[in-house]
Amino acid sequence: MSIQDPKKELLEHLPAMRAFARSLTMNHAAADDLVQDTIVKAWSNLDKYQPGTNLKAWLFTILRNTFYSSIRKRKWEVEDVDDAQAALLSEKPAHDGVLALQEFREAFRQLPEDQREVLVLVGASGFSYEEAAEMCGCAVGTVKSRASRARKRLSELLELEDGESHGADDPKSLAVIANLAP
Amino acid sequence: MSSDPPKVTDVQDEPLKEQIEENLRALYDETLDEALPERFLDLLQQLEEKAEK
Repeated sequence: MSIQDPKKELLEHLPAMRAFARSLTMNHAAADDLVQDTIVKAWSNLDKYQPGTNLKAWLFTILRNTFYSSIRKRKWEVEDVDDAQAALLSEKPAHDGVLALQEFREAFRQLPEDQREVLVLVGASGFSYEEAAEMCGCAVGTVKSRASRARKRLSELLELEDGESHGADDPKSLAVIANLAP
Repeated sequence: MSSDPPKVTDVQDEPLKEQIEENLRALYDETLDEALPERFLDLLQQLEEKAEK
């Protein structure tokens, strides 16, 4: 089986490629440029794609390689003020068990890109640690420890303490509130 | 291979881990739900036309 209709199959994966690109660049405009470069590269290398293997993983690999070679060339500034502003405007109210998304986004932004990368690959886009390792060209153990470090750093940034419950309705907070009451 | 304990101590708190995953997915899904910009459709169209020549 080969790619019957590359345009159609690429289209199918474009939204995920944009989401992955944004988590690497943390910049909407740069992410779309990255996706554009990835499409052109993928198209001209379609003959190298092994039919029957995971097309999404193949595309993500091209995307991340393109990203890392472009940050080496310092093509983009990773920080983007406009995005932070836009994010503030689109902030959604927090609901039970979910941190305010904006707060999370800001903490996520502070992680090094290799940590953001593994978190998104295994945490949001549904790849296994093994697949992520193959895409990143590193050992499974490396991916796992990067993900661990990333989660740890995130919980520090968000001031969530490991092993404790959070929010005003946990016993500790209630006790504090009770003590403060006249 | 996957049964090896990770070298870095991971966040032990399962609800906290879940909260992180949930937020990661929320960020990711925000983009998935967006309409694709025209530029990508145009680009694919161009590539396809070039290939047909």
